[in-house]
Amino acid sequence: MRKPRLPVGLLAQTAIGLLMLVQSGLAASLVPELVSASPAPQAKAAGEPVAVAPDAVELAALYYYAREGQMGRVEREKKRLSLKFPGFVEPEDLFQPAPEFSVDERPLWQLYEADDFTGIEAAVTQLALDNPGWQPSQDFRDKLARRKLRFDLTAAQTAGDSAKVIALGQALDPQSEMEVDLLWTLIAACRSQSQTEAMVPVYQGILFRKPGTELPDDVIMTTLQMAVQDFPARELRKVIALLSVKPELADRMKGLTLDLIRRDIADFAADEAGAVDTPAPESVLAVRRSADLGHHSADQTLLGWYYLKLDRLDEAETWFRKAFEGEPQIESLQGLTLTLDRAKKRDQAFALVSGHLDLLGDKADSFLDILSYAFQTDAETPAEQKPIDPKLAEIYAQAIQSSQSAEHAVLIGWYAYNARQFQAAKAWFAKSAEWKPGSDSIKGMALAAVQMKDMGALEALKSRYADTYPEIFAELKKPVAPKGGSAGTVGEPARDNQARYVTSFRNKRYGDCLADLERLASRGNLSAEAQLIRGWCHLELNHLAEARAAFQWALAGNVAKADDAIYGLGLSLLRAHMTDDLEALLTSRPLSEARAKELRAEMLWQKAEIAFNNKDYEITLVNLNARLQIAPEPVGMTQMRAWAHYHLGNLKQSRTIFAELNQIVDDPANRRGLTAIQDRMGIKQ
Amino acid sequence: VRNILLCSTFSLAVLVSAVAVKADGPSLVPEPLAQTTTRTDARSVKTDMLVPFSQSKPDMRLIGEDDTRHLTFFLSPEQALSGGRLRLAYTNAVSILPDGAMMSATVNGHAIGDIPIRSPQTVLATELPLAPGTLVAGWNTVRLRAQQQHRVDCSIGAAYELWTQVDPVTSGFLAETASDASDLASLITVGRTAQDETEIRVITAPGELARDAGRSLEAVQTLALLLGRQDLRIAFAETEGNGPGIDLFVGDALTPALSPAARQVLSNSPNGLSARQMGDGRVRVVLRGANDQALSSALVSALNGPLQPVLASRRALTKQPVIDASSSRRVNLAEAGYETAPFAGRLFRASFDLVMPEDFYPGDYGSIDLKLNGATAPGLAPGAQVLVRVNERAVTSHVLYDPEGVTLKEKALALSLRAFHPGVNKVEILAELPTEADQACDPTARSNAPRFLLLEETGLVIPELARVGRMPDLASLVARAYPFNHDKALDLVVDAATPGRLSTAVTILSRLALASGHPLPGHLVIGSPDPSLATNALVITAGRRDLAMTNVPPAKGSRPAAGRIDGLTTASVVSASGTSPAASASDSQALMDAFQVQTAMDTDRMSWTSRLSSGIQHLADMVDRWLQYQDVTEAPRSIRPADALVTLGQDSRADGAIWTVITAQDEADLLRGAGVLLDPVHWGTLKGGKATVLRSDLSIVTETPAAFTFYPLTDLSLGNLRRLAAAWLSDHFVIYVGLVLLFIGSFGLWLGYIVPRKGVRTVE
Repeated sequence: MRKPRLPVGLLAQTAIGLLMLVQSGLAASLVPELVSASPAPQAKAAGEPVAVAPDAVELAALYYYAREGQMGRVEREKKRLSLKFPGFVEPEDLFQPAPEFSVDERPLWQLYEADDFTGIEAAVTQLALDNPGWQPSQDFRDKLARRKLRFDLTAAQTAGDSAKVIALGQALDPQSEMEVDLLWTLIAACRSQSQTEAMVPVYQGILFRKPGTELPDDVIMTTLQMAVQDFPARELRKVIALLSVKPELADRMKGLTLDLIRRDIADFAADEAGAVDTPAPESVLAVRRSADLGHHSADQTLLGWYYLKLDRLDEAETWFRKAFEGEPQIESLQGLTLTLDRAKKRDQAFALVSGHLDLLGDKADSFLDILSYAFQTDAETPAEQKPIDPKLAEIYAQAIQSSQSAEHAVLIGWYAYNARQFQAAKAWFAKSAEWKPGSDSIKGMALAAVQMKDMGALEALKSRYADTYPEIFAELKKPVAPKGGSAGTVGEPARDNQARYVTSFRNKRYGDCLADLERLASRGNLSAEAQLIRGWCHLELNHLAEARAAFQWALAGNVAKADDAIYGLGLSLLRAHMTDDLEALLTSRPLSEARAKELRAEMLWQKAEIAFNNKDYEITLVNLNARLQIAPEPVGMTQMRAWAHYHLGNLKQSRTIFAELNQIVDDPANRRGLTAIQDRMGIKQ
Repeated sequence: VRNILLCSTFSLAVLVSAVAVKADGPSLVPEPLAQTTTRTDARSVKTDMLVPFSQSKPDMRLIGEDDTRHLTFFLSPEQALSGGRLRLAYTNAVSILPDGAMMSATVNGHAIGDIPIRSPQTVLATELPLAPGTLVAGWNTVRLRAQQQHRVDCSIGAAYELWTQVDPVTSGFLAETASDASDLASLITVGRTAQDETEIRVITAPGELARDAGRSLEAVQTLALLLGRQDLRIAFAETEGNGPGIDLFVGDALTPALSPAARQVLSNSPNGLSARQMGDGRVRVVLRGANDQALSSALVSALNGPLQPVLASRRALTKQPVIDASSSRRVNLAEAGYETAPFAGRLFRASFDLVMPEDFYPGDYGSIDLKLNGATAPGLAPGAQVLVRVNERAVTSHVLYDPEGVTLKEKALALSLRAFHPGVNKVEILAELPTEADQACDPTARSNAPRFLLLEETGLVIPELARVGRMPDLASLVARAYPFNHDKALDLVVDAATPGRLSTAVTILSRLALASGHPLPGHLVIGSPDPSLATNALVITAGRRDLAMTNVPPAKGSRPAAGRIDGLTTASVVSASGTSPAASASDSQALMDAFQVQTAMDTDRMSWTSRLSSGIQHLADMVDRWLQYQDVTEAPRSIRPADALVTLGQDSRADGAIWTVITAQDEADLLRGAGVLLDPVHWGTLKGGKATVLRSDLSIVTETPAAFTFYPLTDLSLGNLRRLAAAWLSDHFVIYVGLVLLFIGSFGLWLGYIVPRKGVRTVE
């Protein structure tokens, strides 16, 4: 069952924002502040209380001299500081938290170490039975929660379920989390879902902490290296400037220069908005040096993109070729073919790609244009002169299907037609027409029907398209004969071959799914089915408004699975707390019973909750009662019911409910409720 | 792992643009931090209009225990009336003791407050409110005085570790009223780029770079003079830029080949010179006119009209730390902006620029007398002394040690004229003032008792100077634009019309215009200079060998141009295949030197004659260097041709024309090397006959010319001739000694001849 979720991310962001506001006040020494000097700053000195601990400015020279190896000065500076701040301790000894352990819970700890969470649950129940009133220590509970979180996170990460990682990661507080690898996992998950905005608080939490709780320099460095992938270089330079308060760190961060330069150049090559105008020659030189020295294929590829962007095709080709020859990878191949294509060397590009078909994998659809080279029949090279590798044909066919490219489907269709494989040709034309109807595909279908002497099919086509494309059927009077014999066999489109976005969605790569759909949308309108998948992907990524829009488009496009679309729309409304709209939706659109019930129940619970928080207890009860009509009530809701009665003054009723609840579950909340009622009744009496 | 990650990022960044962050995407810097004062942010939170200072970065550095700087900014009358805040963004040396380190600011003589100096790691912006009464319309002067002490080191040398750098990009006056967006004078408020440069980007029509660059020369120089900034960089591009800077459009809407955007800008602008604020420190300046005459007269009328206050009130600015030495007189330090104040540190420092006339001839024929007026406190340790340094070199000193204190009254210290060169000379008066307590350097025993007082009546007595212009001399070129500062035509020769070369050429031209104080009548020539015309030329070549000097036929009677310009650089112009004869010749020279060093005979095995001659040679070299105020480090250095990035040299031709030549191997080298040369830190300090930027460490190597060419004398008075003769003899002391010996010898001979013949008469 899909449970509506609060937009936790939003809440967390606000909370962190508030936290940082508070913190920035404390961190005045760490961070430069815009000091608006008073007209008479000299007056400050007299009444000012003496500072107890040295701030970053006072300590700066200590770090500096130590780094410079001027030990005599370090000693004198220490002496100066201890004179100015009596009780001054050297920075190294500032924090050493002593660990604490409870002995009573040793068996629990053993289970804990074994990650046996069901075992822990059983053991806790047993211990609680044996020792009435006992509860696991706060320390254990906290650690258990952490451990479980880590366990689940790691499991989700191993399973590649980045959406789940993000959901679980909401429980982490980036500002205080000490197990940074969890935050890094979260960042990686956000990255794979293209949720850059969600990464921001996590990065900030790691990089900017309260003085005294800063993470070690190694961690900061690793995090910055990760951030190079996610943020533009100018953003990172700002961060580095702020972090440079610590001299050692400032020094180490200089090591990031090359990474930043790479990022600059990548942004420039990718035409990123806000990227540097043109990377400085020194920057390019630095990367060139690195590419030459280390034979880094990544750097070589980068240079390839850079020169391609500058339209210096020869150089781009050289670099891509170097990279590809050093380490054949899809990306350098892609760059190389693109360069060759632009340099009007399509034959070379094709030869290259057809020589490395194994490399293409699921990226084959980015090579569609080059792959199609073999299938393009033009006057000089008729089909029969081009023997086609069957594997090439297969990959081309798969790529067409996964990218749903109508144009290429027509192309392969014509190829099959000319090779007298009319069955295959017809199937491809049909696919093309399905993705994007056009005169070419209809014409192909009609011709294939003529060649196959399938008059019934031809008539069907005629009745359907004669009005739209009269010229096709006029030309059919003198049909074009296929050009020649068989050069290579073209298979029919596979039935179970899904579009790439569907595969991405199935594999829970929602960011990829959206990117795939984006690409598809750039070529033409999305089908209603695609819109439906888009809605789900947006919903999973908590993009509520976009999800809502996508579901509505799907509905407007008369999607086959209307029930799914309405359900998705309902869920997105629910998550956005748009209960009124949901109610309207449920009354206006038909939905399967189970799903309607689920949505309605959640809606009523949301309404009750909102009313309760607004101290509208009558309405709370009305909604809870309505909900009880359609679904059983969990304990928490019953407690809310009892409290609502309590606040309305129906003390007896409230007490009955609490007492009843107390019979069913042992919950301190019930007992607290009962005590409160008794107090109040006692006062009344 | 990182590489793999990076690799995947790039592919993502390049291929799937959806992954990357949008320009207005989320910021990594937390909101509260973003509002603080890193340089980029300081600009982004700006709600008021920042009027930057016109000084460049080196002029904003306060060095030592007590230093003063004068900064200026320009205000429109409305801005002066409404007041605002003075923003000083600075960073300081980590060794500055946070307690008591202060920067005090004075605006137009009104003290406006002190700022504690405590920002060793980042640029910290501090703002001081400025009441309207303290401001004037036009140029305003801020006097900054930094007083700073070392945390732990009380030695004299440690005072050099103390510095506070004011950031030229984010500092300035925050005006509460923005000046009128279309006010011409508001172009003075243009911001600086993150590289601390003021960019003027000349917008050229596609394919018409040479035409538009040539047409813009006068306008660019006028803008440079108006701005008065040493950190100007001129760029040429076809589209407008982003961020702070000036976009300059020159021409008319009907000019052929304009890009549509430029045509629209031009057609929407009024005739003549106009400016418009585009936000973010960027100004669009349009000079609209149908032909060259119209453009020129538009500039003149703008200078006489709306821009008049900018120039007029700049002239009214006084108290710049500059002394003009062109006439014989006494100048007191007060005139150079020095103010008397007791000094409590260990190393007193007062500095000013002494500007020598461009045809000044240095030599030992006279001296500038420094008349010291001041006093020291009792209790100084032995070693206390006053030192005078000229161009970073100690010239004279005077011991101050007296346990009861010293009072100096018109105490004269002679600064030999040989220590100066034409152009700007940096003079520093230093007083080293150690005490016994400094030895222990006990932090509890720090005392702020004054140790020294230098009165502003201290003065310089400048004598009559020997004056004859000589060549080559880069110092007079950069300081006075000599010999281009006359109204004689100047060819700006660029070997190919590329944005990089033109940028270098025109940037240098604008610097020369600033130095000479008026636009130079420059004329842009693409190709090579015409040797048949006796025109001064500024030549920029970047590896176009076919256009380099080699194919210029030597003018009759002159030495071959190629060899004359600079054998070294022409060698470097040849492609770096390593087989060129010039390069191998130089390598052979190096091999030969190494060989001779390795196989040098022990001195005691040499014949006594060669020992004597080498001894005399060594002695003569030493005396020569001592006479010339040269350090051993300044002895001629051989530069490998491949190591020369950019060379700046001068060449005088038989017909009297002077070519100043900048050579580089290719355009990338030219841009990189010219960037170093044109950096305000280096540009003002160029001297000697040739400056080469080294590829290896980007340092500048100056070569003293082997011989000078003299211009015809303009001052034929007897005094000048006498001084010139004295100066020349002081340069050639062997001849002087020879002459003296000759006179004495001939007198002796004469005596020996005459006495036996005439006898001796005794006077009774």
